[in-house]
Amino acid sequence: MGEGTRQAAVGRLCPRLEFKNLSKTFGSTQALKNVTFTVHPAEVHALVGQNGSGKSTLIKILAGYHNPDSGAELWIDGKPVRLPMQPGKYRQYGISFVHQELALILSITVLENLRAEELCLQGKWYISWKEEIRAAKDLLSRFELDIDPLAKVEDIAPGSRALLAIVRAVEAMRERGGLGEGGVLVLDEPTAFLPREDVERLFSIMRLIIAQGASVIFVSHDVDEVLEIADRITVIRDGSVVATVLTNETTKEALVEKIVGHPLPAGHGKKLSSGSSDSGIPKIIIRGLTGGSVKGISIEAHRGEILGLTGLLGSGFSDIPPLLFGAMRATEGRLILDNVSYELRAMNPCKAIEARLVLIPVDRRSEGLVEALTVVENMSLPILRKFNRWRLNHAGIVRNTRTLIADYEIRPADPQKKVGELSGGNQQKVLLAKWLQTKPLLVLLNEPTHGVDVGAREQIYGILKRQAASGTTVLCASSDCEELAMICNRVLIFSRGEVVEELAAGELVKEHIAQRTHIAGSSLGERATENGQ
Amino acid sequence: MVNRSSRIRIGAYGERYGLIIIFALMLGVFALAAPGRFLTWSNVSTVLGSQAVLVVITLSLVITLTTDLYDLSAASVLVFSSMVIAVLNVNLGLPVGVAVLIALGMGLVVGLINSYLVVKIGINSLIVTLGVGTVLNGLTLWISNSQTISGISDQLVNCVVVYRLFGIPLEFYYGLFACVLLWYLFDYTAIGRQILFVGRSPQVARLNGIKVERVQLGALMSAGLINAFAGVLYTGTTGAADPGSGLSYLLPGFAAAFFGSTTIVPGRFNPGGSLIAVYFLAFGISGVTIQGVETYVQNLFYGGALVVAVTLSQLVRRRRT
Repeated sequence: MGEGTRQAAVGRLCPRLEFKNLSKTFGSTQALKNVTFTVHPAEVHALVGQNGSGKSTLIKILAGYHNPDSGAELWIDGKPVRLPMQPGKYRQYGISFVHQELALILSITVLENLRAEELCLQGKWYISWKEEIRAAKDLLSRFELDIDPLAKVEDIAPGSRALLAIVRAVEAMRERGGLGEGGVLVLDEPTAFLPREDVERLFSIMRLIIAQGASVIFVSHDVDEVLEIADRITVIRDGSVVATVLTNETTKEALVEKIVGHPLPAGHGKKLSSGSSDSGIPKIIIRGLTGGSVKGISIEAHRGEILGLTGLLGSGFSDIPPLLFGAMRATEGRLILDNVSYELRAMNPCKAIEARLVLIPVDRRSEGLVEALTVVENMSLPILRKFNRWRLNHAGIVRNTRTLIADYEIRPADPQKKVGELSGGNQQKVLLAKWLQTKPLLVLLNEPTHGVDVGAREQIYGILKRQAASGTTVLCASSDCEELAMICNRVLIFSRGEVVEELAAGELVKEHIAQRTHIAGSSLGERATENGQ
Repeated sequence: MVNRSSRIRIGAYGERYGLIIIFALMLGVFALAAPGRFLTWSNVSTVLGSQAVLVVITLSLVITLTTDLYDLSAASVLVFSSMVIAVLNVNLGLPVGVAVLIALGMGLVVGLINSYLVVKIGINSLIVTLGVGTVLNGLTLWISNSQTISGISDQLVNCVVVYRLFGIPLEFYYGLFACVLLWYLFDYTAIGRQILFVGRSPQVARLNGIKVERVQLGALMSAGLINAFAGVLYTGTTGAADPGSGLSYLLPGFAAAFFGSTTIVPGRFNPGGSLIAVYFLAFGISGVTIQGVETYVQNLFYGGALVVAVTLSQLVRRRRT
């Protein structure tokens, strides 16, 4: 079958994959509403939308991870598929996934990762390693990847890891006969952590796959990338499909407008270089911070200010809190806190706590609290030094915890309850109470209301505002634009590890923040903003 | 509502004190089964006095297990320390006090080696202590020519088993004292809290400014010291050092530590629970032995108790989370 015949089939014959009438309800919220989503043979179909718009719910239904509401239909190659899809069943239909976490085992070799499924499941009594190495080399060179099959995955560059995961998924698809006859490769935010040159390599792999007749569903935040690679684009907002458009019939502005849901205003955000007009001396200065995915950023903040940090996934904003706290290794940079200067390369959590920094980490279950221990044990940890270290006064500690429980309205009000038995919102309040009782100078937040119910969210915002009013500076890294609009005095927008824009008090509206984030965050964002001014 | 919460409270009490109640029932049954032989002061004081070595080694395991480390070298340190005392005192004629101090210092050195390999190099504690323990066993055979060395100074023997308080050998009180000390350390000092957090989640501990490596180092070093001390008691009990028999303390030690974690503070390794567990097992074995059952029952008892204890503590944890 030639290329031409296949191209001619696009749009004429039955779609490769089609969701109809797809809805999904979680409790009282509807994550997807009557979605229709069609993927043609041999096309790159991009799925775009904000955080929480429903993109990943759709992907997870396809993977059989979530069950859709009844009435939903899925057609593959013109045949109905029974929903809910059994987990793992997608393989039979030639569908392959690459999730953001990549699902590679870092401590074993590239070869073992590539061939994991075959080697484990085929039940061979003799594995010819010579043969396997040759096959792996073949495969990698077919995708023009210069990776040693015998290297451990942890030793290869992060960008190459992402490409390796994709090659593995493509290979899995080919082995099941998917490639060339109905395969669908689903890439969930594959470019978020990739440097630009690896994005180019990814795109060439995608083109290769399309040329062989398979389809790609490309989930992304990045508007420029989507415009570069996709044939068609479906925009999801608040669980509904807003539009499905042909890439060459749309523009970046029109697309962003669809994603955030309202037209672009005339004025653009103030550039960072224009400087802050606030009076007074900044109390907190960060100079030339580099580390993680952050490249040489400088930030100044005032006493009592809540400064928001945001951007798209992988833009580096969420690395700022752990880098300042020394939970993540910085390669360069200084922090000046009330005229005391700290070398960030040498920062560690002990020093950070002494400098009166506190960190509310994004993953409170594995980094913030020990769920198997009680509220009083968790809460009293940072203040044990205030008691006699060699004769802990348990009654005093419990009394102190009870006061905090009352102040922060933690439910149930039982100091001896295990933290794991509390709701997400109450856990977060425990974490805040635990640290704010130390009267910090600088509070570092990372997604402070992640997994927190609405009621507790309001309380947490109240707590943070009160804390700021008492003179503490708060840095809040968040991807929740509503949150940023509600509590921040200023918001810095990150892209590719740098601060590209600053939004002042007057511009802090949810939709505006979302829009600026998408414009700035797309890979050509900086240039676009400059042209716009 | 009242009914339900009171039932929960009864359940919690049952969990906390269940082992003590079963212990009391067991004592009653054996007392009735062997009147005038089991529950006599001489039998009770003998059982109490005979378990000090096990109590002490269990406490060292409680420390390392709480820090989430496995110390398989515990019994090897015990035997090596015992042999060091014998060689120094009997063969080289050093005063027994000096020999004891050297043996304790040696325990610290082993702890240091263990922690260097575990903490600095980052090798799994199970492997490190298995290897180090085996090396120590070899050293023990080497310095003793694979022979039992007897004739250790009476001073040590007197201080351990001969002198008695209320008819119970002094070594019982050493074990008791160590237990109280560890209980205090765990519950009433900041260090105890740090050990707890490091064991439960090193990542949380680190982000709370706890020096995780230092805590792990401290745990392994103090475990080495305590195991060496168990060796001192062991030497004092028998007045001799033999290169093999002390190694059999490892499994009962783990059994008692896990068994102890189902009582007093359920779900946590704790000194009080371990003490009760040690004596529960000891009186159980004494009781069946008096009934004339063969000595192989000891293995059945300790092995069975380890499996039952770990199962129980697993169930307790699952119910509580």
